[in-house]
Amino acid sequence: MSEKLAVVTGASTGLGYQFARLAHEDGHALIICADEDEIHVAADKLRALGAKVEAMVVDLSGRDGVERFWSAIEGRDVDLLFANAGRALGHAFAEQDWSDVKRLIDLNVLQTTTLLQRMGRKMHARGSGRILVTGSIGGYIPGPYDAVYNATKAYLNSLCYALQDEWKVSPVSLTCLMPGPTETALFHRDENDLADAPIAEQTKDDPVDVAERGYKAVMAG
Amino acid sequence: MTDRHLAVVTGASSGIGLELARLAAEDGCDLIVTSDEAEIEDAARSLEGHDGDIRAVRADLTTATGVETLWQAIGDKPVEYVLANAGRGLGDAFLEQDEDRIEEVIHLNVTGTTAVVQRAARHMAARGRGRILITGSLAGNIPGSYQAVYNATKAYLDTLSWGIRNELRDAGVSVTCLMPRPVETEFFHRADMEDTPVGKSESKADAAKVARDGWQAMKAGRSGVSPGVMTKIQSALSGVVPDSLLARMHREMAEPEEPRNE
Repeated sequence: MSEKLAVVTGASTGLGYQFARLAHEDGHALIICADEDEIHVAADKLRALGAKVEAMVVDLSGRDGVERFWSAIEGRDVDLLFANAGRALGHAFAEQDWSDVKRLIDLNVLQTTTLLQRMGRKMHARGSGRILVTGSIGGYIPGPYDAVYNATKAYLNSLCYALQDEWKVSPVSLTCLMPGPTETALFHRDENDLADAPIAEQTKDDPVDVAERGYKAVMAG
Repeated sequence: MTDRHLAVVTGASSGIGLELARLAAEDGCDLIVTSDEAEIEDAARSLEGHDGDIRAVRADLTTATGVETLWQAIGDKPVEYVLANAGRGLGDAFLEQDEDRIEEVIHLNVTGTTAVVQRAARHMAARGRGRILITGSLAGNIPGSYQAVYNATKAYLDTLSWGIRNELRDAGVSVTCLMPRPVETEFFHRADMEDTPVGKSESKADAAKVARDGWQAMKAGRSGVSPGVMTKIQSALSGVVPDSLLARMHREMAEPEEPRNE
């Protein structure tokens, strides 16, 4: 019997890293990616835990990146996908740099949709598979000073519920994780422009707990 | 120099957009109407006969170039109203949808609208006045089986609208979200949804009436409007009924009668 395989996007830190760790502990080999070199640090940490890891630095906000990532997983039997890569963008909407806004939409909305569709087709053809999408409780709350981010998460929450219904009688399960604010690098990355927002200083949920709850949910379908 | 207000309406070649443009024309505004179709010229001609100047701009708002073309046409004129209405639907099961068409819907409904609204927000915040209307949808509250990406784009727009409304309030700029239920327009034909219960339904809302409610809500600076009694009921229901049940109800409306072949 061949080993199980899990794919995790946005796995260099935070929830993505925790998903990868949990999938390894549950007996999966891993393919992980992120748009930064730190993915290799994450991969080394996972290997130290005994995981079998392939790591890729790839920017999924561009079509080239999506194609490159897809060609790496296309021919593999993926049991578990964590579509987790995503960013945020603080400050007032009118003052945000358009290229940052565009990149956020391309990453959170477009690439997640593309990946979900391709993996959805692949898993349906194979007759099994589980997918977890990292949505957000933010999707239910209009988000002044992070307005586009919250809107992208509203998109993901809505898409997930619709697909759960479309795939009701299907061998593929889809779970939408909707965490509240979680203590991850999301709030501290320079390019996310959130470090000076009040929420960056507040007490947030532990990513280990949130990921564990997400992992249990996806395995329960 | 004119003292007439300038209104910009996107997706104005037909449907709710054309009706919104008509209301702006009747209100005495100068108008820039835009669409990616040649029909925008006919639409513009049909709006003549009022006090304001009407200008048609053909622009594909799925691209940065299209957004730029529209803004070039506006130039340095002060804009009072921006009605970000351009949008497209897409029916069928998610796994059957064409990847390029999904991308087009996302780039028009999400990226293009966000770009237009951001430009408008900057322009108006600098002026200290202005009103923005975003055509969202009741669909934004309802996960949409067999129309999943479209409904999700509307969830995006509804959420964006309410988020930036709060941000822009102190700058003297209002943002209103129009959230209609299914409306009798070209939409269902273009979305390949003519063979669905909602596509065939005789009881869709009237575009002119929906537009009127939206126009009035925008002028009053209200946060959102769900035109019609049925819409209000559905909207209220969507707040209390679980999303999984809403998705199932949506399946009843939007599932194609026959599985479609490529």
